[in-house]
Amino acid sequence: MLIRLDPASEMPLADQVVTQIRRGIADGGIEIGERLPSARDLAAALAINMHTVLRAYDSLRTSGLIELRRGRGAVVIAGADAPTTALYDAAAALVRDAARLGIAPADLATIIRGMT
Amino acid sequence: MTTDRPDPSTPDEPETGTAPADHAPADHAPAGVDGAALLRTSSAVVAALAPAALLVVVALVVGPRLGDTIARHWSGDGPADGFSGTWSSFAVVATIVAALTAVSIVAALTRRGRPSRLIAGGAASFAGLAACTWVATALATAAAPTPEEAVAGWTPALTLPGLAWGVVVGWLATGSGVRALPDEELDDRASVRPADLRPGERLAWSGTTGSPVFVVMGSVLMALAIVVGVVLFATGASSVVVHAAVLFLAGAAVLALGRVRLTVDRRGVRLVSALLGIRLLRVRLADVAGVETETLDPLSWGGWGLRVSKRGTAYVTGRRPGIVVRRRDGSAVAVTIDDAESAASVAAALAAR
Repeated sequence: MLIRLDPASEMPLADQVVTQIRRGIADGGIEIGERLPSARDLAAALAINMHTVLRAYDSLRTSGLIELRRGRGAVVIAGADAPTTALYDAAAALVRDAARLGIAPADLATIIRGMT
Repeated sequence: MTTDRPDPSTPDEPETGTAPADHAPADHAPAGVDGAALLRTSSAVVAALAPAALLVVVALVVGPRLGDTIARHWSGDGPADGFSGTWSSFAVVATIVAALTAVSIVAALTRRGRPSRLIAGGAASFAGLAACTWVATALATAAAPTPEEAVAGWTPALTLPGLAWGVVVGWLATGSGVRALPDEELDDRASVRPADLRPGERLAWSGTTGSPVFVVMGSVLMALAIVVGVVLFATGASSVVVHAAVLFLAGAAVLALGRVRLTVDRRGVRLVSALLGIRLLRVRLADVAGVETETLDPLSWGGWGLRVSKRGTAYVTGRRPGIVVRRRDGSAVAVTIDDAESAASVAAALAAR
């Protein structure tokens, strides 16, 4: 699994972690039963506070995507539902189309933000 | 082909307008395993374990009837004329048998044709001989009221089947390990396309891998060590408990390899035991000279487990796809891992920053 954080983004770091793990679960990069890195390890890897990761894991637990067990860490217990997967697929297709037109994902994000 | 760090004078720019990666991941679908070879190799491994099992069973069954000393040597048909400590001799023999059994199993799992079979059989022969010799002295001693009155009788004949056991193991071993069919093309070393990076962006890749074989082997060794240790301690032979401790640590070392986590981030490429939390391998980002993916062949990387060979240090669970990280000093670190391309592309991108 890959987690990308952009400290320059307006989105809070914990939300970014949540989004990245949700994306991983949706696109199959993270499988059901997979154990996520410990909060301490992921925090060290990303140079962020451990409580930020714990907040992200807690939010994923509330959403029913992962299970937190003392000693076992965070385990993915649910895959993405069909509509969410479809949305991610559509987004991936959009990114591909944009790339073909020479529009980078960051620019595409700006376009989308301008629509709301 | 390798992905080297780009010239520092060209900072990595966000790639705009590039077509989606045309780097198609190689097809690493596991090939079918030869069922007959698997059966024979598993049987060879089980057979190789027999001398150790016999030794432990006899020690547990006959042990309680043995005193502190055991008859060791006979001249002619008379009673014994040489003696040793019951459990100190057991510890020595157990250590020898354990080592020979390990050699035999590794050889049975290795694909080197005739030499593999000879080593597997030869080591099993000596393990059988060592185990049966102790068993013979234990049975002879237990049959007599005191070790001094022990008569060898028929027991020396036990060493013959022990010695012959190697023939069984050698015959069962195929010398081909567990061969995957068909034999895939090995030279699939591939360069990786570094992941796209925005300035300031932080990446953390993480994946787990492991092998149930290491978990079982490590657990068996540790359990054996505890049994041996308790037996030795209970019988007062505490000076040789060191043998059990060494066996226990060896088991723990194998168990540590059972489940590992590979991480690629600002700390570099690291391999940590997921079961014991010990760091096994590490390459700092500043030391990375190149990153590749390759199907790691245990034979060219020194075998299974955590190995050091002339190609470098590697964690290998089998003939599987993996990531190879080359250091600036020319050494290399390799790990078999699922989705090696993605781990390699992150490592290449972070190292190039």
